[in-house]
Amino acid sequence: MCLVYGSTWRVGGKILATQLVGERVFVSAVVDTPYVMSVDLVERAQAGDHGAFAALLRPVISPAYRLAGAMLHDPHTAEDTVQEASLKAWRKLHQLKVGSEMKPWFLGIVANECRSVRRTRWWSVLRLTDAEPAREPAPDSMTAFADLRSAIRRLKHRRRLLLVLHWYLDLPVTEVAAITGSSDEAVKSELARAVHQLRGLLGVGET
Amino acid sequence: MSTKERELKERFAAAIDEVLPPAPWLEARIVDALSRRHRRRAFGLDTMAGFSPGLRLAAGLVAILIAVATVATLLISSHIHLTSSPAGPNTHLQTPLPTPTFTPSPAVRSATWPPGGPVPAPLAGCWRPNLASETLCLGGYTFEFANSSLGGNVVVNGNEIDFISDVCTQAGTFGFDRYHYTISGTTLTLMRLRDATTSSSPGSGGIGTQIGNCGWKLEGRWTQVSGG
Repeated sequence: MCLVYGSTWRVGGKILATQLVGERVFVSAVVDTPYVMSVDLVERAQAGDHGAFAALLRPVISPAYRLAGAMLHDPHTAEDTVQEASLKAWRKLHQLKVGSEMKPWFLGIVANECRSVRRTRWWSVLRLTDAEPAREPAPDSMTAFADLRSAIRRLKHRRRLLLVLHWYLDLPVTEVAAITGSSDEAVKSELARAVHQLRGLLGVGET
Repeated sequence: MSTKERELKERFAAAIDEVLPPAPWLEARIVDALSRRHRRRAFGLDTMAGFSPGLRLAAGLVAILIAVATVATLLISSHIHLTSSPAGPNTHLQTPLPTPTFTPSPAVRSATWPPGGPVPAPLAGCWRPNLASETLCLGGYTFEFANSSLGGNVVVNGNEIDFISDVCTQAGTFGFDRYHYTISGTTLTLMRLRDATTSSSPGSGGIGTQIGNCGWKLEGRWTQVSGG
């Protein structure tokens, strides 16, 4: 193989970056291709490349929708929330550090948006004085998990968020910590408290 | 993870899946919305770039004039429509709304809440304001809005009712809003206690200073739609 100094070479799923120091050639980095592509996409998106932003966004829309749906229990509001979060992400893209991952950053924006929606919905629902066509009654009370959903709704925003990220999106504690801006230990202890509270709300024992 | 915890985790996921259908169109919808926004911006900048500042100002003024004229036309036409319509009952408001079903959550009183007990029998059930479609349901230590996912806890102390929810405060601790209530027949009247002091706030809890922090508007008359 002939390496060109200061170039990058793709070998399988890895990329070799080469560097000339004195008379020697060094392989300065061996990194995963997706990582390099992601770094490249972030830089291009930050430079205003809309296509690059869409490519970054596509893989995270589905987990974002599941997060918003689990936080808000309303699929339509969840869709709107993810769309709004996407626009915010585009506007705040300069805040994403080159080399950091898109997923935790974007899910953090979605989580904040869910909190805002919950607050705004309180306000808008209760401010409603114009007659609005009544929605169909939610089939909640007739379904198997109504009690559990009711208990989830009674959890504090943060506890609900941690449970949703860890239990519903199956994210490891480290990733949950990155999304919520906490330490692994803080996430673990808060998760334990959240499970304890959920059990209490459901009237279920600890064992 | 213990077996019980794994079971709870599975039920947790199933409970959410039950109300969250897949949305395979969402990705395309969002990418499309972003591209349209991008194109609109690019188009706006490109088309205006060739004009002098004077022309841009003139174009802005013309746009404002067109907008004002459109609004005026709409107002005039709606006025004509209203005055020419025969008077009659407003069938929209008379449309019967479905009776909500409400099962209070088996919540246990927390030491951090303000003093008070569960919702008494005359207050239990679902209540609807005269004009809005949202329904407030009360029972046990809980409240819920029947048409949405919003809910929380309540405690009743004499003629005072405290609505408790984490949406009331940024800090992550629970806050609450306090109202005075009266019931006359099937009418519930709520009046917010704006000047409530901390005299009746909990001794051990950390939420006594959060009164009136929720920004809700529950004040007014509510009609009972179902009993507790």
